[in-house]
Amino acid sequence: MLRSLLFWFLISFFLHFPTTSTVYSYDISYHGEAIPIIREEEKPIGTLFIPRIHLKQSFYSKDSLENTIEKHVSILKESPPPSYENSLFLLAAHSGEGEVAYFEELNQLEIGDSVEITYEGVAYSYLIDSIWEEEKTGYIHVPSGEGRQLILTTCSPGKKNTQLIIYCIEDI
Amino acid sequence: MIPVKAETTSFYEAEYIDNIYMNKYQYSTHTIYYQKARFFRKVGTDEFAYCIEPFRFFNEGATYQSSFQLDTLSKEQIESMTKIAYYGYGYSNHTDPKWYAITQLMIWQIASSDGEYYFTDSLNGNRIDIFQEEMNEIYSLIEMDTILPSFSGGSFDIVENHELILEDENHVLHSFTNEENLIVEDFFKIGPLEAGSYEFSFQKELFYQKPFLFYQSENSQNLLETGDITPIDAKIRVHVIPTHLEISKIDQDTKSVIPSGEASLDGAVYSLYDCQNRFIQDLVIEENQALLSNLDFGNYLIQEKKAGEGYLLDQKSYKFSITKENPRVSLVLKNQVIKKRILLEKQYGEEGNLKKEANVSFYIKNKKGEIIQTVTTNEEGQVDFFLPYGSYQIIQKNTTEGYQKTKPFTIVVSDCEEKLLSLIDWMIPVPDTHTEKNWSWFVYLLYALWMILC
Repeated sequence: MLRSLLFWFLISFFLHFPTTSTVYSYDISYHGEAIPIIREEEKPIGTLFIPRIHLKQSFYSKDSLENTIEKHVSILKESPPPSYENSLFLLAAHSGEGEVAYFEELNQLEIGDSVEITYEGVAYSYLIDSIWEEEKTGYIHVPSGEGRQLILTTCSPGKKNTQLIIYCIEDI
Repeated sequence: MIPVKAETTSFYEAEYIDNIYMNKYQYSTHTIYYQKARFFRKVGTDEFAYCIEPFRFFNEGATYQSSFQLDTLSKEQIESMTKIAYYGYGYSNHTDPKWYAITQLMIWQIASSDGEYYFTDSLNGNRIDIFQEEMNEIYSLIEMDTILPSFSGGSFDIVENHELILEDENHVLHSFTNEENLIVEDFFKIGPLEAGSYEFSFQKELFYQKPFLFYQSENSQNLLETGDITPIDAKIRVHVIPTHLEISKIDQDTKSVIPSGEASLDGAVYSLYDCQNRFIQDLVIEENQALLSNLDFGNYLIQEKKAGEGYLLDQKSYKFSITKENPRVSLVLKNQVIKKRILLEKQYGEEGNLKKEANVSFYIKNKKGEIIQTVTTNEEGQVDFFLPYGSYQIIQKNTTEGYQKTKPFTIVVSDCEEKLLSLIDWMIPVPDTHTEKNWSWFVYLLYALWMILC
């Protein structure tokens, strides 16, 4: 009995534990039948470094299966990359608690703090220009701006139904 | 009445002149008087004199009274005789004694028309026509004597602080003098002078520095002693006029000296050319003006070479004339500021579902932070406006509820190209980024413990 219980406990525990970063995709080119294949482990396309909160995290390309907030800091689909002069690069990540809550200390940032990014091997420096919160609706409202812009967003730590938005402009 | 100089003197027949013989034939008496040429000289001073009564005998020892005029001669005769005597023997290089004989013969010709006077090859010999060239020279000098410099009597207008150089086309100026020593050969040089009216005179230079004198005697022929003839004066008038060119710059849009935006009317450079397109000088605009004093009379052209900062170069050229009637010219020249048409388009919403945002206003602040304009989008979410040269901050005043305002941004106007500003406030979907702590393992642990206990 005890062995049986211990077995079920271990099975359940490991089923809820965070998974590894193995990448899955499906090849549907052959007779239309989806055949799962395992690709080589992907490399991140860039890194985010926020000195004030000692955050340094990698992120993956927009089309990568690794580009999900369940695993990493994630590029939102609407993001033109920083390689464009007039770019609006949006990064999101979980806050709250848990190992993927990379942005759990994002509310400690202040206007003027620096944020650094590498993207495809090129470094970009930003300064926080403004910080605001919006009601959580599944959308954020991003104002029009010029030059290289970076948005960091997450649920406001410690607040319910509030989205924290940090707007950064390139530090020229 | 004869003006008499208080002098009583007597003359004598002095030295003969070698190889020169003269005959006087009197028509009325058909008498020939012949002689070898010979000087008359004044006793005491030995100054020479001419006989002015060819058919009256000289009486040595006679007493003479001097005077400036003679009643027995007409005014014309006196003028002619004195001029012949002036330019005759003793004048300039006329120092050979032959000139005395020539002068004497010419004076007789004026003194009495009742005779014929000529040279002969010997005493009472044959008539010879000699010394014609010398006589012509004297007549030529007399003729020249009446000629004034070509510009005499003229009135001239010159510009203040400018020189006036007059050239005598009659080439007689060199024989004149001027108190201010303004004569250099055939040129009369005046100035530079300050504004006003001036008169300049110049006089014929006198050779002998003594007056001519007639000597009259009751019992002897009258004589003429050479001296200076009546001096000729000439005058010119000069009006010195200050001239002035003033260029004032204004902004074509403001129609005033106040520049648009951050542009500056100062620093513009105009090139000045004469009527033959020869460059004269550059004029720089300072405090909206450029001044040039005492530009010479004439026709000119100016063209902008460099516009003030923020202004378009004025491609036109401007002609003007400086004249004595219109010595002050003021030009008001306009410059078009560099200005840009801004077409601002405001939208909001999701990608693929953008909406035009009407009634959104923007403040436009200048470099000093002053609001210079407020613009508002129309129903199409658009507004267009012009901004002059400079740097401006655009600040959104209001927005659709729930949307962020566009971040303040800067527009720099340095050319005239239109600028389209498309401002989009995005609504971007984001995933749910909230996580809770994973308590499931703790639940299973509690469950297991509960089962064990049971």
